[in-house]
Amino acid sequence: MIPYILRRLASTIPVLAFVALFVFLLLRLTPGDPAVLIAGDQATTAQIETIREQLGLNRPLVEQLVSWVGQLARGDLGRSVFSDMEVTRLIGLRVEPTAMLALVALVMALAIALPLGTIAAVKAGSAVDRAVMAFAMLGFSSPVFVVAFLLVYVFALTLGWFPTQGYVPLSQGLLPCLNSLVLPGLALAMLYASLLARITRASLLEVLSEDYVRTAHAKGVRPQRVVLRHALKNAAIPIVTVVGVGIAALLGGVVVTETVFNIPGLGRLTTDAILRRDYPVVQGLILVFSVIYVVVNLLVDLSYVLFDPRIRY
Amino acid sequence: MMLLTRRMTMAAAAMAMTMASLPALAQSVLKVRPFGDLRTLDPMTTSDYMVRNHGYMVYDMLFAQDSSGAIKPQMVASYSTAPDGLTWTFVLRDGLTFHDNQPVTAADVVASLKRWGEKDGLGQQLMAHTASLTATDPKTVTLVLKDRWGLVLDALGKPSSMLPVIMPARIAATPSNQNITDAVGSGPFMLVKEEWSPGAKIVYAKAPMYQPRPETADGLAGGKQAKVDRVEWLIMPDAQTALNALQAGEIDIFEELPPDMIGIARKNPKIAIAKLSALQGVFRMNQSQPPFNNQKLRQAILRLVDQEQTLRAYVDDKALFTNCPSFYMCDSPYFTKSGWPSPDAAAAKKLVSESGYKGEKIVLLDATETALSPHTLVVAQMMRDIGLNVDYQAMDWGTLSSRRTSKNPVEQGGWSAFLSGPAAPDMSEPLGHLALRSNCDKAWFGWPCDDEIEKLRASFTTAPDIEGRKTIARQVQERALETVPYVSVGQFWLVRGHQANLAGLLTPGVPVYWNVAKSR
Amino acid sequence: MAMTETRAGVVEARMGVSSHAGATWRFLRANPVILGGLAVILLFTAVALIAPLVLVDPARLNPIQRLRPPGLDHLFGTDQVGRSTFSRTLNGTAISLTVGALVTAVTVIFGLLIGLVAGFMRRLDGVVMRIMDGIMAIPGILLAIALMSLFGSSVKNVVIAISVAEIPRMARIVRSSVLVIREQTYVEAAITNGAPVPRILLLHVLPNAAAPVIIQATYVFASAMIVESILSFLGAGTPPTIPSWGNMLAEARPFMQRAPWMIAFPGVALALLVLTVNVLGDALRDAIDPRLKA
Repeated sequence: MIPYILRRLASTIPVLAFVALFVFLLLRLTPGDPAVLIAGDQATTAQIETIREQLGLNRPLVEQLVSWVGQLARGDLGRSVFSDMEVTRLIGLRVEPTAMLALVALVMALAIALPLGTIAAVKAGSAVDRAVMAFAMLGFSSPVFVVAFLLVYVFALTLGWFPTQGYVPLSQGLLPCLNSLVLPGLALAMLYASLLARITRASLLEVLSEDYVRTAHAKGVRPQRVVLRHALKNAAIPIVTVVGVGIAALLGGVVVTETVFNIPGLGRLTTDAILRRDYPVVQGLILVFSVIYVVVNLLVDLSYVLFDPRIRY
Repeated sequence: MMLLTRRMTMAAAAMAMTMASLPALAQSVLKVRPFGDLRTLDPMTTSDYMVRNHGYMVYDMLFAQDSSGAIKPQMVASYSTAPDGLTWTFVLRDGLTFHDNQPVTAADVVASLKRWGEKDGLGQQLMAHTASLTATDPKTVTLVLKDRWGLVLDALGKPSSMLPVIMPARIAATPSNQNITDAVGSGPFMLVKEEWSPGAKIVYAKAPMYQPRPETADGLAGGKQAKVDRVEWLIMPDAQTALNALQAGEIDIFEELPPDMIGIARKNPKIAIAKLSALQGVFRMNQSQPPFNNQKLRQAILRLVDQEQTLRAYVDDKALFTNCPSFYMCDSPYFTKSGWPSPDAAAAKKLVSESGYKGEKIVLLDATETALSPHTLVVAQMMRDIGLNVDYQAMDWGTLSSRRTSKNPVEQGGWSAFLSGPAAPDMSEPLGHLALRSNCDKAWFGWPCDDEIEKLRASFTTAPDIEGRKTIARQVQERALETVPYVSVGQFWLVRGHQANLAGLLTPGVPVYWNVAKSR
Repeated sequence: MAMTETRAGVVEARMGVSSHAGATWRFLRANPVILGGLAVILLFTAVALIAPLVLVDPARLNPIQRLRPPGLDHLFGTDQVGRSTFSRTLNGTAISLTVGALVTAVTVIFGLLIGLVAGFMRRLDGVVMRIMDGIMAIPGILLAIALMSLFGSSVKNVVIAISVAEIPRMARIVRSSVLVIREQTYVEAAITNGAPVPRILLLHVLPNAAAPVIIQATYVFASAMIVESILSFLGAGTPPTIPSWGNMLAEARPFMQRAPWMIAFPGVALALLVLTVNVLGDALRDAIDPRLKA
């Protein structure tokens, strides 16, 4: 197992290296002068020159790459052009809301999708099944901001159950924090839940038709027990895979959800930075998001061992 | 994944427990949605209004403007001028203290003013007239001028950016081409720097060491009493989100409430609306390039624009706009309708054909996030309707403000027209008027060039009385209706929405938050 | 985007759709959902083609008639500058369909090219697929916004930005199909017989990889339309003068309460079109891979 983990760990290196290279080239290979882009529209020639020097843009490309890698190795992501704050500090300030939002959305998605998907599979072909699948299809086809508007309109503005916007930090208590995340979490979970419900249903259907499940049924094990103990456990692998693959969709959704709900997380930092052409921040964020994606997928791969005793490495 | 989830939940719970033990005192917090974001902490290096507003939170100044426009002492207890008018002596009030609990001394004042004088336009003029600026004792500052100059108090009590704020000498020692990063100030609020998260929020706490003047607050002058413990500026780029927050009581003040939201806000008994500042919509044409170097064509636009239509595109509420057929603000003393033609599309079309216009491209710039964007769209449509070849280009204000500096032909990144909304003080009389100035290259973007207007403007300063000045203002207007340096698309108000339970909200044109109290 | 892989992955390397016209008709008759889905998409296409010819100019302003609710005068109401929401919504169909179709075309072409190369040329496989993994490690929407912010807003750039994010997944699906197919005896035989690679690809591999590619293509189509709307919504998509649904939704945002119809019509149109395409994709998958049919 340990060699497997090491091999899996090693396989992330080329991916991360590519991302770093991509982020490096993103700015340098754009049409036009990157220093002008970064300095913004009102910058003076002197300011542009300062930025060019800071980023070493007048040195050869290879030399720039080497120093960029060196910076990364030191954990230095540069400074924001807009606020002159270290990018690492800016990102650090924004991690908590995003982590909490993603967590809440994930938990909500699982809480919605697993039961729905299971019921649909067990009652395959019935009206319940069709209703669940129709719901999943709808959730999957509605743009996240449309869902968000609907939720705000109904549950915040009309009914007044939840705040319309904003984020209450954990430091002000877990419950207020969670309360502020119900609507954004739900908006974000919708897409994910639809997807998960479908996969849960599909993989359960497959497992339910396998011999050992039939055997269990024949042996007179209670149906709930069959589904919960045997079938779900074996359907876990495709489900977990989707959680991993879907993390990209989740992170993308975070950008939109945080913008609509005014949550000061990494997603809103991203839209702000992009609209302000704050490239050092954009670069840092792409790196951070990619690292999250790679790490989550690494964990997913490693978790296969937990779910499927047949897999031995 | 489940394992991961469980672990993260536990971590979150543990975090919540440690955090919950922190004291949550019943503090009064004023939550404000400002119109922009705070970029730097230095009110002396940029004219950015958000930084200026930050300056008013954290710093105090020697003088300040009251609601009638008069300059009143602020940090100064008393001042005197020698009979020759050259030597000015300022004595500081007792008990002035910086946020680091150090006393404010005359040396701090001198250092601050010198730094400001390097950057600010009026400050540079003051310094050019100054022989010496010294601290004669810890509480007295002496200014000696080289020659008589009438604007000393106007400069030291300058209401808008860049502000002559007073900061500790050690911070004022920062070169003026570099931004200060230490926000220790002399004003009614202190920046809580640990909580500053660019793009999310800026937090101020009441400065306990600040000594307000005994007078009641008036305009930007008088006693700056902080009546709340904290002021939080919450950055919300999306106006609907901010309106939702205002309706739900999650914020107290919404600066620059978009006009289309006013109706909704009015229906809510817990929300009040206050006018913030008046603007004039300016349709500015580039006279350095065809086709608007053609006077006849500019006259066609003047005849074309129907303010009733452009203003209604901005807001339906008649109380918030004025159809103002004049180059001067309708409530200013120099307002005159003299010579202003009534809108007539047919006449405009005739002028276009007389002008010899042959379908040259008209590049119209629109900053889509500004209040002028609806006006722009309407004018674009009007122009198309009379057969002008409009190339409408949407962009943000940052891009527009750099594009408009270009004198290139439109094919090479130039422009033909844009709309902007200068505030009332810049649009009220011929001398300080932003858009009537016709001194060619030195004029505002668009660069109108007309000797006659310039001569009239010069004579304005020497006119014997208000009647004489009014005559000149009217003559300027009549001449400008021929040369058409710009076309007004109407006059309108910016407004702020706030919770009805706020008391003491000041409206000096600059949003300031002292004197504001929250009641239950 | 992400979700589609597993779905299409299930059917990777399954047999393709017959190309004979008669067989196609029989196939459609046997699958009314697919027929219905295609009909709805044809309807949208017809709207996209006819709308600009018969409706008022979607950019036509009428400030006096601004923010009018839906009614007889204004079928879908008017927006903040008095433009017809009806005309804008119907004209917006063309933008969404164009972006969807172009992204799908670009993704299929490049996905096939890269996937075939990677699957068939073992030496290139490692490098190419690591690059694809690298691109996939960047969340698609983020990648698209970053590209848009650098290249500026235009329909062309939207298509490129979304395609870049979609191509790797398509390439991966093609590659895994190829890997399965090249193990087949007849393909192996062709290889050992020294048949030229392009010929093998064209004759044996391409037809057999068609099914998963078609299914993935429908999801790319749907996803591209959603991403376009999100990009425009965030201000990094099609230029604001173009009445795309994303732009309409972005402009409608400040009027959510005052004029909810401004959000409702483009929002419903977008969801409807995406829903149709997704249902179609599902039905195709079920038809081609009956194992998963409920």
